Formats: sequence, structure tokens, C-alpha cells
Amino acid sequence: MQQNEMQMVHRIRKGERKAFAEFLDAYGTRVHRLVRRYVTNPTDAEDVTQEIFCDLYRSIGQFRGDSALHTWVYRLAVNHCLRHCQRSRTDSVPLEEQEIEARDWRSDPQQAAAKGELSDQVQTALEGLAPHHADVVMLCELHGLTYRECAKVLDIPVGTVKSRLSNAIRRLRVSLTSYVLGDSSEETAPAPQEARR
Amino acid sequence: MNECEKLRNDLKAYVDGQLNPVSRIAVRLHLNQCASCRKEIEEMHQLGKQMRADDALEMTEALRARILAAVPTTAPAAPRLPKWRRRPVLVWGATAAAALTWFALYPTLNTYEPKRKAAVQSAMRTTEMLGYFQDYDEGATANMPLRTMRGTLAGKDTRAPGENAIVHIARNSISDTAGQETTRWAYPRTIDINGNANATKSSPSTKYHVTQARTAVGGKMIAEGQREDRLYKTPSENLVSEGASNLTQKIRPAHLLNQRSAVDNVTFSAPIASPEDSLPTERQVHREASLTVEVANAEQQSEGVERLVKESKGYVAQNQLTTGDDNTRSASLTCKVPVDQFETVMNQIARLGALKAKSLTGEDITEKVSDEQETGHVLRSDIAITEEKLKERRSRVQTLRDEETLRQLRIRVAQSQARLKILNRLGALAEITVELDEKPKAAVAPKPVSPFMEEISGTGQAAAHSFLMALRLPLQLLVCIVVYAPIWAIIVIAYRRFTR
Repeated sequence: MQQNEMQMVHRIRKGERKAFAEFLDAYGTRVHRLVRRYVTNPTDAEDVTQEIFCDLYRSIGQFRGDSALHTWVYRLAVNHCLRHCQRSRTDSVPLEEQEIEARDWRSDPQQAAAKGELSDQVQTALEGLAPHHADVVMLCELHGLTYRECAKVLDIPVGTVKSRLSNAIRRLRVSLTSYVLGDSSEETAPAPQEARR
Repeated sequence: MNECEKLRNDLKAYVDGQLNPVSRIAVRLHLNQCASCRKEIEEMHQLGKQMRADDALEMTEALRARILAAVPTTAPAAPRLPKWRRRPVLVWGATAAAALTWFALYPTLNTYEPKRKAAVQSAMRTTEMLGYFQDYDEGATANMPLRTMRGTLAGKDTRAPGENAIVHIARNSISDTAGQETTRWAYPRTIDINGNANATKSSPSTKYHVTQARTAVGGKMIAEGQREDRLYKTPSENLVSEGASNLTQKIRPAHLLNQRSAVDNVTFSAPIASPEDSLPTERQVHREASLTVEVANAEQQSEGVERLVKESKGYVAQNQLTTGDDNTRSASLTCKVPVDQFETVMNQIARLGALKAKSLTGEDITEKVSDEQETGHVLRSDIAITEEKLKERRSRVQTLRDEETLRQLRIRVAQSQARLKILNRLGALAEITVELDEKPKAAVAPKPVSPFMEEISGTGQAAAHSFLMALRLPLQLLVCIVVYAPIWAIIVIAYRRFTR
């Protein structure tokens, strides 16, 4: 773990607001993106993000530095998201309301500019995946966690991460062929990326 | 399963750079050959790229401000460590103290184990006794080994010398005269015992042999003799082993107090003799000595040794005179002398010349002698009993059996007497082994050789040695030629004929 991250944690523990602001800047976007993948409603997503950071602040005393800070943050965030999903399944919202909210979200001009049709398709494809496949894709593919970190966050073996991701990507290939791969035939075969982080 | 199927899960990991080196090489080699997997990898790469590029969502300033406002102003709670990490010295110290206390108090607290052991031993004793009585019921010869009966009683004998020792065997318990119950056992209630036994002491240690007894089962006399006697032997023997080393030579297990219905009281009576009676008066020690003496004339001095031994009323068992390569002689004698003359003779022999070596050994044979004596007593008593039986018995089979027993006993008595005789002789005569060596004669001084001649001789030897070394190789070659002649001669002849 990086030295400055640990220093930042110590400063937060002391109650330094500035340090927490730095922490929020470092992980805010990543956590919010993750939340948005689980929670489609933007208002709910913001609430969940806020909850996550409040919880992170409260429990940062328990962070012992055994793992990387971002692994710990992701673990807590994923747990929050999963709890939220469970709650929202039990407190089901009427379908019409969900559609209105969704339309509202898409009709926002700024957001709509940032997100195109492809984004919707990716989101739809992710929603079509089994939850355990979607978790792995989100963490490894969209948030760039290594397989080992992902395994720690989800509390599963590394081999399981590898196989789940492989299967999930195959399914995504099928569902996103026309959108993603349609105009990329001229791309050359990739060399293996450097190990992430 | 083909190669593509095997590497199916590795392709994505290869794209992400998450494979180990070995798997990465395997995938790379496979990709060189497999177009479909190459295509799949391309697609995976594109898909990942697009998905990551698509995710451009940023956290808004409003959300950031909202989170910062929502976070409590107080410092977060300090990490809650487990107790053993917060106060390690206290916790570990308390644990160590508890462990030490446990180990210190364990012998006091753990009373269960000795009780269990006692119960097991009691059960074993019970089994032995039952087996023993069953032997009686069946009328078989009781061959109960004595050692299995030993230690079954643990009563302490605190009587004054001259008092009678009385041990009561009740139905389920045995107690000494002080009324202290020592152990419990069970045996069939239908057995009544009556008899007399004489015990004689076999050695100073503690063994007692009961030589005479009569036993009745169910009020009816069934047998008498040694086999019944052993029944009484156990209590007496164990009484002795518990510290009554001054117990006597005679034990008289008295009589059955009640008949069958009232059952099972046997009283042993054992008058105690004074402790001196049981102790040996004199120790018998067999002594041996070995002497090596350097003398001027071995032959003369060996005669002197013989004379000394004869004067001490002993004898020379062996006398051997040998002459060595250097004309020095040595004599080897084995002498037997009476024990009281042992020291005197040994000193006189040592004074015959220069004493070079001396060793003394002694073996205490008192106990062996005592054992043999007691064995003889016991066997003679047995002979007397058997002879009495022979007078009483009317059955021919029993008479024949008793005659055979008598014969065996007489043989054993004779053997015992012979052993005793040997032991007595061993104790009476000491053995002295004497080696008489002559002084070595002065060696003849070698003739002086001049240094020049010595040098010439050395040079000649070196030259001869080097010549022989040089000659060795041709000689070896010659030997090889001769040895392999049958082969090369045939080849040469064949070659000549062929070329002719």
C-alpha cells in the first residue's frame, strides 16, 4: 500500500476534514460509478454514495492496512450496493414510477450527452448478466481491479474470478456484438496488458 | 477436450495480463496456431476498451458537497482492537499464570487417576483369584505363578517381634490385625478353606514358601499339599513385602472359623522372630586375582609359586611354560588357595619379582547359597509330604503319581545339593592367576655402517627401482602379446594366405 494513502488514513482518523476531502476526491468518482452500475436511479445512487462515504468515515478506524485501501473501499461499497439492491427488491417500487424516473434520468440533456446509446446497451447487457457475473465485470473490467483484488472484495477465490469473468465476457460479446464489435474489425490483435496495479 | 476448450478461461486473463508466465506462454503458443481464439481475443479487447471508454460518469460538485456536509465533524472512532492486542502483557501474563497454577496444582487436584489405577489393579487381582479358585473347582493342578499373586495385599505390619501376625480374609475384603482394610476382592462363596501351612524363608530378601497346607472346598477336604499352600502364601507374602522384613520362618494359616454358610474367614497366624534370625551371619565372597610379575628366571619362580600354594594348603590347577622368539620364557599358573590365605599368597607371589599388573575381583554368593539351601529345605519338606501321602493313599493311580512326584523331587534335591556344593567350594577357594615373564635380553647392537657406503647403497637401490619401473611397461606389453597370441596369430596367418 502506498505511503501517502496510509498517511491520509491517519489524518482522517485524527479528524482532519481536508484529508477526508482528498479521500473523497480520490475515490468519489470511482465509488459513484460503481454505485451507478448497481443503482439505476440517480437520486438513489447519490444517496447510496453518500451512505458509503459516511460509513467509510465511521469505520476507517478499522482499516488495518492489511490490504490496499482501494480494495477495502470497494469491498465496503459493493456490500452497500448489494444491501441496497436487496432492500429495493423487497420494497418494490411501482413499474410506472420506475419508468418515469428512468425517463427523467435519460431526458437530462447533460447526462444524455455523456451517455449515448452504447452506454445504455452496456448497462442493459450488464443487467442481463447473472449478479455474480455482473459483479466481476464491474470490478475487473470497468473499475480496473486486478483479479486478486476482485477476489478479496467479493470474498471468492481468484480462479473463480477468472472463470466468472471469462464467462461473463462471452455473454457480453453475444449481446453487444453489433454495438461494440461491428466497426472494429480493422483493430489489430492485442498484446497482453500489463498487470493492473 | 481440445486445446481451445482447455484455454477457454485463460484467454480473458491473457488479455488482462493476469496470467502467470507459464500459462501466458502456453496461450501465446496456442494463439499462433488458432485463428478463432485470436479473433476471440481481439473481440474481448475491443469490448473491454469500449466498455471502459463508455464509463465517463463523474461525481458532481453537488454530491461532493453533500457528502462532506453529511460526514460527522467529530473524528472517527479509534480502531477497536481485540483485548489481547490492547493489553498484551496483562492477557499473556494472566494466561501464563493460569497455566503455571494448573501445572503446580495438577498432582493435588487430579485424584481421579490414582483411583482409576487402583480400581484396575483390584479388578486384575480379582480375576487372578477367581481363576485360582476355578482351578480348585475343576480339580486341576493349580499352576498359578507365584508372582501373579504377589502384591495383592498392602497391609502394613506393625507388630512387635514375637507377636503373632493375623490377617483376616473376609468374604470381600482383607484386613490386617489393626483392622485396616487393605483391599477388596471377590471369590466364590461356596468355598470354605481350612488348612495349615508352614512357610520358610528362602533368602534375606522377602520370599516365603509355604510348604504344607490342607484345603477343603464346601466343607469337604479335597486336596492338600503345595498347590493348596499357595492360597495362603499370597497374604503372607504381601504382608512381608509391606515392610515386615523381620517376619518369621513359619507361617501358620490357622483354620476356617465358620462353615460354608457363614463363610470365608481365614486366619493366618505368623509368629515373628527377631530380625537377627533372618539376617545372614557371614557373607560368602568368591575372590579372584590376576598378577603379572617380571622375574629373572620364569621356570625357577614358577616352582616357587607352586611351593607357596602348597604351603597354604591350596593347589595349582594349571602351570604352563612357554619360550618366545627372543628366547625369553614365560610361565602361566592358575592357583586355588583357601580364602583366608588369599591375601598372604598373593603378596608373596608379588614379591618374587617386579609386579607389572594386578587386578582383583570379588563376587558375593551369599544369596545364591542361601537360596540353594532354602530350595533344599523346601524340596525335602515336599518329599516328606509326598512320602506321607504315599502311606495314606489307597488308589493305585494316585500312588503312581505320588511316586513319580517323589522321584522328581529327589532328583531336584540332588541337583540343588550339587549346586550348593559348588557354591560352597567357590566361596571357600580363591583363584589366583599368575603370569611370570622373564626380562627381555639386551638386543645385539648393529654393526656401524659408513655414510659413504650407505649413500652408495641407497643410490643403487633407487637406480634398480627406476630401472624396474621403466621395464614394467615393455614387460606388460610382452605379456599381453603372449596372452593374445591365439587371436593375432590366426589373423596374421589368414592375412598371409589371403594376400598370397
